[in-house]
Amino acid sequence: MLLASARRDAAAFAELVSRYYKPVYRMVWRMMNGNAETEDVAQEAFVKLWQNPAQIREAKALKGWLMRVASNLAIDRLRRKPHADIEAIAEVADPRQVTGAELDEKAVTARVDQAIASLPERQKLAVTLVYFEGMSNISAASVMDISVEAIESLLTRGKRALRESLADDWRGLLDELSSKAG
Amino acid sequence: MERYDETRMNAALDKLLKHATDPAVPEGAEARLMLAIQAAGQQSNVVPFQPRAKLQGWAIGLPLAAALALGIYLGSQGTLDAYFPGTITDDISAELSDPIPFTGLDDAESYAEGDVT
Repeated sequence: MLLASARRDAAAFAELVSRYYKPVYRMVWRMMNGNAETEDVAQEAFVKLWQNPAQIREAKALKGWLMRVASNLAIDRLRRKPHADIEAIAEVADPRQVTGAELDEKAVTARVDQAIASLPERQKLAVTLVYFEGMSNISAASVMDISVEAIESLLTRGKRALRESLADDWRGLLDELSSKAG
Repeated sequence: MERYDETRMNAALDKLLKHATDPAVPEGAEARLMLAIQAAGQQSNVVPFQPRAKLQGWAIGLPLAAALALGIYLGSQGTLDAYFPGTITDDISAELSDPIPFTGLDDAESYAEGDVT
């Protein structure tokens, strides 16, 4: 498929897009906190692949390459916009605005999204790759071009930050989820 | 929150993270991507080599020959001797050759005849 894409075979590339677009889009969405430019950034990563397929030697490295390029593009895009992270966090709905005093399922989702959005970008990327995209620590470390120990450290700090961020609502959120489950 | 130990807190966090938004790909996004790809075209990462314009043989040889001819002319005229005194050899060689005749043949003959006086 990669070889066919390198020969400018649009049908083969479409197959590749259908396989990898969704995880790339999800990761970019998470990194950009649901910013409206998510689609542009995901698209740019695939266009880079189409224009220069020779950058990838092995097909198994393709997903990691796309994730790396897309995450770099997302971070670049956010850094170019002054205070983009603060603005973008606001794009994730505030649970208090959604439900008022009472937390419901939608509010839990919004509160968790907001906590993730407030993470530093490297912690957020590590959490996104491992928790949301189900990548192994080794694969995620490869995407981020860091050691496995470094990604473990990022994950530990990320989880701690999430716990602290959610501390105020922690019991309420869990109680809400328990009552929904019950 | 204090009552939760580390393991339980991590388990609870995992539970909460499962409730994060699973963003849906906007409708038509992949089709728009394929259109963008067709518009973008494909480029090689190898920069094409642009050969420099080839010089004719005479274009290189002519200035070299002219420089050589000029050097020979100026050297023979002694015009530049004042600027390059180290290159002057005529007088020095004359001074060396005049007092000591380097023939060696006369001396050899006298030794051969046993004239050691």
